[in-house]
Amino acid sequence: MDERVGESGMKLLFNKNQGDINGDSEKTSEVSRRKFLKIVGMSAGSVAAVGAGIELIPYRAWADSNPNGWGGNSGVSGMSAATMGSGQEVGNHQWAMVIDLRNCDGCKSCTAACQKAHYLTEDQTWIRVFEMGDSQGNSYFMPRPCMQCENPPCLDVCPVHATFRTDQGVVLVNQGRCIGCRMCMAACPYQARYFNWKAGAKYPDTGVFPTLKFPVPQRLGTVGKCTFCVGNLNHGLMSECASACPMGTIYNGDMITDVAINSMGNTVKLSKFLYDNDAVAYKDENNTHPRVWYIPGHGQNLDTNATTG
Amino acid sequence: MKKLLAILLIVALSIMGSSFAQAAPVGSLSVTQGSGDSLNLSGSCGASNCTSATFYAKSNQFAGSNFMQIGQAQVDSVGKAQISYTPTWTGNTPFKVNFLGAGGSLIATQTLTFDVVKDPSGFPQSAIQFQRPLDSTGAIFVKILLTIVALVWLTLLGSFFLVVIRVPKLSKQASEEK
Amino acid sequence: MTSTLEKKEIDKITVIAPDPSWESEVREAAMRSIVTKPGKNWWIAVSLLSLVVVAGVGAWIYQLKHGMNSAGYNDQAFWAVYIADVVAFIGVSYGGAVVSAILRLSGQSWRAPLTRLSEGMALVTVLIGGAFIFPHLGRPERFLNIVAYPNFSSPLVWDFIAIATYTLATAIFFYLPLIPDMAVAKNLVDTGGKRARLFSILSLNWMGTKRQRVLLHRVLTIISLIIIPLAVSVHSVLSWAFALTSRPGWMESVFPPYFVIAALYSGTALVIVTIYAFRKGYKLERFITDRHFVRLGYMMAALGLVYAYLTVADMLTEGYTGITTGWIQQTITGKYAIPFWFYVIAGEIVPIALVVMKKTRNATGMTVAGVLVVISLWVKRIVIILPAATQPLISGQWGSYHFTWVSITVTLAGVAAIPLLLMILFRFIPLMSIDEMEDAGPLGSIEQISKETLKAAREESIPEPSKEESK
Ligand code: SF4
Ligand code: SF4
Repeated sequence: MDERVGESGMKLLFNKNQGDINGDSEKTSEVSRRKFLKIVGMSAGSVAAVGAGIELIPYRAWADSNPNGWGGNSGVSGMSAATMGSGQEVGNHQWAMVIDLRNCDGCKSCTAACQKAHYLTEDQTWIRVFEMGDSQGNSYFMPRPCMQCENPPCLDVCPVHATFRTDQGVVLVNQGRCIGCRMCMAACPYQARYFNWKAGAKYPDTGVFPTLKFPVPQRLGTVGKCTFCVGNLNHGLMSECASACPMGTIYNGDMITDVAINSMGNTVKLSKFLYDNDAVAYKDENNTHPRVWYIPGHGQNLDTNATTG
Repeated sequence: MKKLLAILLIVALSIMGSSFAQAAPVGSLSVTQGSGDSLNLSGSCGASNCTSATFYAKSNQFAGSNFMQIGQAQVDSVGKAQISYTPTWTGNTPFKVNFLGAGGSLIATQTLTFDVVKDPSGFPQSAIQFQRPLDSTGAIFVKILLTIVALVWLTLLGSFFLVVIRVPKLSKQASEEK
Repeated sequence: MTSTLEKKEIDKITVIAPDPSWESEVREAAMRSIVTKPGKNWWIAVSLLSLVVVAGVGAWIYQLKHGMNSAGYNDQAFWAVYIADVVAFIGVSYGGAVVSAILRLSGQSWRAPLTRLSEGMALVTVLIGGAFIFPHLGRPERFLNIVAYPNFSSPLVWDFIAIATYTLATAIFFYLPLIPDMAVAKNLVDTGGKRARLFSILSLNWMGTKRQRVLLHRVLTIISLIIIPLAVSVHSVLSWAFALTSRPGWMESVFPPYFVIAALYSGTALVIVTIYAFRKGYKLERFITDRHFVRLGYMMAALGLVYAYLTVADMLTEGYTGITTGWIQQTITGKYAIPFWFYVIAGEIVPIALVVMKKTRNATGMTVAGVLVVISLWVKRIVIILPAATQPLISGQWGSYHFTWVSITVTLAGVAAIPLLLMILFRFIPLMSIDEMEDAGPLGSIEQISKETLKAAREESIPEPSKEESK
């Protein structure tokens, strides 16, 4: 029995809590999905340029098909607070992340900072930097945290509701309930989940009782993964990986206030930043709809509109 | 010698003076509530060589965040530039405008703090609403499956108990008949 | 109304011809395991097997203490040997149950000497397979969370439901045909003993009246009908634990029938091995003849061919377009080539050849084939699970799974538990269904009775059911 799921500010977005969806939005998402597929087909060339066999969905496709919604270049908003209130509730923040691959030099400072903060073993790379090859035979680096999918397959397959999604759009694991079946590891298309395989010194007594948002120390025999450092974010701090990045690759963002910031203090209007830089969602053809966006490329001159003011 | 020094001083001073004049904040910024939820940001450039204006707002959401660009506009013939901006948070918010010259050089800048009271988030419901497997059809499916499971259990246990209860009874009956 | 119905049923099942010599022979043979005192070999075997099981439990406790890394698991090999064990053990159980159920439903009277052994095997293996879920879990003590907080969109919850239902059905399916035998058994052991008391409780005071027989026959028909779709659903749901993920190599529409056929194939094989062992151990050659092995062998070969076909269908559709060839390359020529080709040779070519060749088409040949099939289908499960689990989904290295002494010991304990539990189980229950054997008559064990014989025999022997009885 673990009642801490209902912790304040952590409204669960379980299946049951979802009310009816009004017909309109359903249609929109249907249309947009079809559009996605089209765009995936059309932009095969650009996809290949980014990396062979990598499935990317451009942010613009989504933004353009939601002209009245969040994002787009227009800054127009068509949703009033009243319509948002129906059905699934939206928290006061919707956390997101932008990873600007043009900046990443593969130093893995993010991984190290994350492992230090969460007392992880060396294998537990909650944010892992992959070296990716492109079609030109070059390579670039791609940090991969948990994508905090809006439609998380890991949540659907968890037999005991140990994986859940908060009203701030963060997918968390209740390690007090997890039975360690690892079905979620099978289901996650991003290899973003890590099991606590070993008992031993790497789980020190930090004197802190592990919570849902800050599961430290990790519990043996359960699954852990990137939490987006949601505790940090809620206190106006950046996630460990973002603040440790010497290149300013990782942006923490909030989709409600539409702001994103990296370790250099570069502050951008999230939707505009994504749109202007042609951000992509990785492997969205699984309909996972990640909350992490990638800006493809490596080593280009930046034209980010980001400013230090 | 003294004369030369004096001339140099005057030249230097005049150069400094002119550069001071150039860097002086000749721009102005005003923020007003526009139609609906939007704000009107308008600025005017005091200098004649301003070509474009970039507007910024500063969020206090993340410690260490800076001004973020919220829009750009061309400066018109009377030196004015204007954008409409829909804020995404409330509270005292610093706004800023930078007037740029043709080459992108900064000509004038101005900041202003405005208390934003309305922030209709542009974040739509549809952005996070995905049909979970057990919504609508799935829920019915689950109910049907659970009913089938219950029926199977009932049949299994029913036939088991039928045998367990009936067999001794039948034996008793038979031996009584004998 | 009931009386006509019962009459019809009675026609179907009444004893063909009272044959006292056959009857006593059957009783003696079936009761051999109960009546005789276990020999020295039995004790040696039981203690050795128990040692292995105890070692396995010990290894599991070690694993609980030190984490699952000690069983060779890591983040890229997150599912490996234990889930393969679950699939393999529950698979062979399916074979036992379905062999018995199908033969019962189709009225194959030659089944009579086999049903008890195959149902016992089914019961034992489903219990062991279910138990393997515990070493598979990282937190077995929280297992009941599945009941407390079920998420019905998870395939694992349905696995749990299906396996629980199937276990119940197997247990009932094992017990009900046992009732008449228990009635016989209680008269054969010395009265007043513990076993006599146990038997008389289990026999439910069975007297073998016609109405009792009708009742039992009807209930067994219903359960046979249920157990087949139930077993199909168990293996389908088990396969969906794999197929409902987005992993290349697992996300296959062919998986449910693939798993069902694998289960039937390995199950039939283990039935052959089991009856061979018991035939040898208790000298049942008079009842379990070579023809039984050959018939089961035919069944096994047919299932083997279907399984080979599904394997090809699975790999071809995945590999042809070249989208997800990684795991196929690894399977055919890479890391998993040795186990894969082991399966092809020992799990398909050799057993089918053993069935085809006349020389080896006998009890020994079939048993060798059965052993090969059981082993290689376990290997095949590993080959299905590991390549897809260890593949890199983004980029980088293939993961690898290393067998450790923990996982090997625990798996061997499961393997040893099958003969152990069967040997102990059949110390308490007859080896063959006396009732069914007597029904089938002396011909039944050797070849199927032709309809005419049956009819003739029936006309001779059936007394009209008396009115009181059919009331
Ligand atoms: S990236 Fe993986 S672990 Fe994270 S939410 Fe998506 S499916 Fe779940
Ligand atoms: S390992 Fe834990 S979090 Fe993952 S599916 Fe199983 S119970 Fe859920």
